[in-house]
Amino acid sequence: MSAFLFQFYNIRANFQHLPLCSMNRNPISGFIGGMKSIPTAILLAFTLLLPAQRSEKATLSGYVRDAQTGESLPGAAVVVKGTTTGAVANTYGFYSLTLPKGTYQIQCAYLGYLAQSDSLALFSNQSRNYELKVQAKLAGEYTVTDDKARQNTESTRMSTIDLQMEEVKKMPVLFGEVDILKTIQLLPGVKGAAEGSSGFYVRGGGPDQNLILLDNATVYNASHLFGFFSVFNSDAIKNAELIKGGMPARYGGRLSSVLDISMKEGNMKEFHGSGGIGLIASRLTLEGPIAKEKLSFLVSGRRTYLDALLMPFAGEGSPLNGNSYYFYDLNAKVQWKIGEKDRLFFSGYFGEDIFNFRSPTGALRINIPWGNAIASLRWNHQFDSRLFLNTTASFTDYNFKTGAQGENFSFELNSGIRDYTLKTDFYWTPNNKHLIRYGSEMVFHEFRPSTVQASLESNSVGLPTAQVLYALDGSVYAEDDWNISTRWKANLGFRLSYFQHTGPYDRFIKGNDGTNIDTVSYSSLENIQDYFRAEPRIALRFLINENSSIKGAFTVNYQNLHLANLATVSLPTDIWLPSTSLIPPQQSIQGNLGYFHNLFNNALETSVEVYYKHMDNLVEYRDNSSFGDLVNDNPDNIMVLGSGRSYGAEFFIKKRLGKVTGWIGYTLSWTERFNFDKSLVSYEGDFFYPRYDRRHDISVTATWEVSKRWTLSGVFVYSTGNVLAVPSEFYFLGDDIVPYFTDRDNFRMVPYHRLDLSATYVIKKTDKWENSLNISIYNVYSRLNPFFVYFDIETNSNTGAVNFQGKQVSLFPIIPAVTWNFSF
Amino acid sequence: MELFFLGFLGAISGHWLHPASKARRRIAAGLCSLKFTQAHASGERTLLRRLLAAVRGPGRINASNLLILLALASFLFSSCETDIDLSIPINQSSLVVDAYIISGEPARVTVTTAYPYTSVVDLESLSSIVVSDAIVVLSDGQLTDTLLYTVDLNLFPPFFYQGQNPALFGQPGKTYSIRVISGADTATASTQIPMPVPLDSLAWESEGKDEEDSTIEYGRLRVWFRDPPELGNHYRIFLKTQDFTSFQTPFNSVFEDRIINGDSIFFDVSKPDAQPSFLVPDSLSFQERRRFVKGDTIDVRFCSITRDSYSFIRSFQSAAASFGNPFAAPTFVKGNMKGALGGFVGYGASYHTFISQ
Repeated sequence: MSAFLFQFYNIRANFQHLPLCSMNRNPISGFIGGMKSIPTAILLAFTLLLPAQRSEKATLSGYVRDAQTGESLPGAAVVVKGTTTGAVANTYGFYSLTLPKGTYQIQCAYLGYLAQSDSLALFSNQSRNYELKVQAKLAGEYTVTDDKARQNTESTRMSTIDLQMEEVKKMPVLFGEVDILKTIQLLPGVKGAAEGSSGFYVRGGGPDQNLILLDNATVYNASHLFGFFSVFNSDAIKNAELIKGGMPARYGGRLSSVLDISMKEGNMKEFHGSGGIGLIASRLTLEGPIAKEKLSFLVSGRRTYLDALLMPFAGEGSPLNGNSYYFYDLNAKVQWKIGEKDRLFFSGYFGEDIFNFRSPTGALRINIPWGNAIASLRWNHQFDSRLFLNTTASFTDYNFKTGAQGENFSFELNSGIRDYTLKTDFYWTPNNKHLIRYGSEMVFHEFRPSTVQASLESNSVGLPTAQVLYALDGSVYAEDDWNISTRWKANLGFRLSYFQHTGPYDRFIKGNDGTNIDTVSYSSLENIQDYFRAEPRIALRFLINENSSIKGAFTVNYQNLHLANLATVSLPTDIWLPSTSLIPPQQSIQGNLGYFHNLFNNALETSVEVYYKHMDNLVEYRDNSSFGDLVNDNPDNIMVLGSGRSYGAEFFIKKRLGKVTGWIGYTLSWTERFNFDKSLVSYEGDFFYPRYDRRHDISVTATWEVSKRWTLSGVFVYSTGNVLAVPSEFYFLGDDIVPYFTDRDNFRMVPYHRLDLSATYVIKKTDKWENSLNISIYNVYSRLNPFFVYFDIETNSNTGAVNFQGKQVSLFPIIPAVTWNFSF
Repeated sequence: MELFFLGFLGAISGHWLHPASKARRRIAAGLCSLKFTQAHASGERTLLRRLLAAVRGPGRINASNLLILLALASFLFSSCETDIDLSIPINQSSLVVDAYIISGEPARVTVTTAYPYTSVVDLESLSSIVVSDAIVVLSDGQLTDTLLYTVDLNLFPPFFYQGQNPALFGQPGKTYSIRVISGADTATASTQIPMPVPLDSLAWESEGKDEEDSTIEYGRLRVWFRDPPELGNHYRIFLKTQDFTSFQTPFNSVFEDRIINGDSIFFDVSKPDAQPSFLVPDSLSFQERRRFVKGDTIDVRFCSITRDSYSFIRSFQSAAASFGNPFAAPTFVKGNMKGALGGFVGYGASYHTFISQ
């Protein structure tokens, strides 16, 4: 009895570090405070279930970092040598390992680094930081077998892929521009939107169903140049994680996937730089300490310069004068180590695409900028050896503008989305059987579908603008990574979300004939419609033996944002809308099952995964709706709700070690849409295939480190063609030739396949300076893959004959590129 | 480039009119009819025509998509185009019934079959799609009339079934229905002719003199009218000059009163093509095609149509215009013809003539 009370007292003592304390540290609204009492309650429930032997245990905790740069090493393993007992460092490099008191051989290891191990006497809570040295590669051989290698089989995380930037940088790419979003399209289950585009679909979900995070801040449009490049400059990125299924409770708000990208923190010890000059763009990254071991910075920029190159040819008389297109990215990061237990990070991303057009006479000027501005401030706090906190405040602004000016008129169209976010995440390792994460998130959204300003001669007109939509989005979650036994492991999580479409807003009520019969006005912050949703997340792993395991997951997800977009290419004109009284949150229920097997001492990872996903409240635009329908109307009045499902199997083999590394992925999948009101959204039969239904998808990548200087790599992709609607007949009405569509999915484009090769030659490599040359060839056998298809009406005006000819436009034939990369 | 951008303004300004101020109406009308520049090479003309068609079509902010398409095209010089087969196998050509009845005139019904994609459309094959042996019956609820197959080269299409009984010529306020039997297919539809709304006045808007011959002055027609106070009026305008054989529709000929309800407004219209656009020779300059010449006698037929007719016309115009635009969603034409493609439209017409001096 007294032991129980003693234990309870210890638990209570730990509670002093929990929500009550943190409310004092972060002055936040009562809403957040109220939500924090829920995690506390859940926590209490958890702790009362724990065995009562805590007084005989001690905790080893600390940070794992790179010895040379000071960057944290998330995912590093700290284990008791020779056993499977250990801990994994979190996103910020923090680990916590609770063991019975005693002496142990502790080893810290991370792929690509020399492992460190020593003997430790653990009789009271201790703090031990590890600084790992990069392992000098012996012709590409990684001889260390570490726990990270076994994560394929051991972790409960399934459908999750960690991307190492080193791997990404070696792959052959379009125009020589390394791109993380293009690389993830090479993974099974992930499909690219269109030739060259960086938009992607995961397991049959739409492009809006992927949550893209950059240092915990949401990114809405991750594309430059209509989708040909992503906004992520790989020199500034540390790592990226893609979660396709079994999404843990700490993530929410999207149905299909999470792409969590972490920027580098900045070298705390020495000043370094890197960069490259390429065919399309050049980039430069500088990082270093402002105050050694205390304050560091990282600045990374990238810009295209096609416009600068053309300037000499674009003089006054030339038709090119005044025309330009360029994009730039700027990533900035400042890290401040306030004390042993506190760190502050500021990350910023600013990027823009700018298209300028000037008519030859100068009478018409068009300017189309679009871009993202993202900023996040994060605070890490370590309460004690077992509890770690990260709080993030972030701001995201995505804006798209079209402006035009003529002799006597000017015009501007603006649309965008803006988020203000406050997020808190706790990591708690009460013992080595449980890693508990819990936290909350609160977002205020502003959706600007489109606003217009115009003026003619001297009069300026504010034409009726589409309304701004506001929403409050809050959630709390708790999840437990539970080592049930040596064979069984589970991740059990729960997420509760609350979403409110809030005023000011005017709702137009429609009559039967489609005209407005009434308008209801809501005032500022008035609750127009709210939704309260619960999302259970369960993942289980059963370890068959040291080399193989079976994993399963079941998740329910809700998404409060909708992107109804039918363009075949990803365009910056995409309009995001919140859930409203007419559109409830999108919902998905997904189950996955997989078998994971490592061969040849973890040098080869293999897996087979099957999944089934059912989705509800998907939106499509009503047939024949147009831009004019948005005037004096609410956009959701022209949307139709329906359901969908996708299912398939993914096969994956990855060779991680040796001179030749790479992977082969094959996905067999179906995705369907159904239950839409057929009088509003026409289709034949019980269901239709959306554009991104692709039956087969194969990717093969290989990187061969031939010698210290030469590395060769290749990528081959094959996928079934996209689905589209093609008219079956044409007919006359008056003098119009009208196409007759019977169905929206009656045609499939030819399969897409492509081979890319690249070679990297290291010119010089010393401690102080390294430079290399990368030559890549995109689409080696110049396959003319379809970018889009259309009908051309060819008229012979002499005979009056009209001929319909189907045409296929391809974008990229064989494209070689050279990039020179350097670092110091 | 200016062409479709201004087309964009034209397309949207028709929707962004606000009843509140005269200044806004003037601006909107001005935006509608800004000067079009002349396209140069015919290859460019084809591209421009296709892009202009894309502007008129549906699609999410289709004009922005359009600008981006052009940016893309100009930025990436090496785009490759190949011919492909997009044919879909069909069992039988669909029946198409294009029927209309104008107040004071007999009903006219054109019955054709649709073309499969692989066909060539020329004057010869046009005659092969015409159905001349169908049974077409018109009814107003009490009387019926069997329409007779006629060929009249003054109208387009020149082959149609025409009403014979003067008692069944179109009358405003009445509802008419037709039945078409061709082979094993039967198509039926009904429509109403709304009360005509007269125009207030017509005026000449000069566009300047011809560069070479200063005796020729070009211009547009300015139309003033007042929309009746109740919501739900839809209109279509037809024009002809002295050298036209029949009324034709100009660019953007249909509109509704959702935004302008109850107001007195004006708008400008350009000259329509005298013939179907695909038969117009390329040699005509844009000025010659789209501008009235001072001295023209312009006849206007201003018609009221029902909401269903408005939706139908807009949907097939969108479908025709977006044909070929890869960024547009497929348009499913909503005609009121049951059992066949097409529709039956009733026009309540008011006639006006303007002589430009």
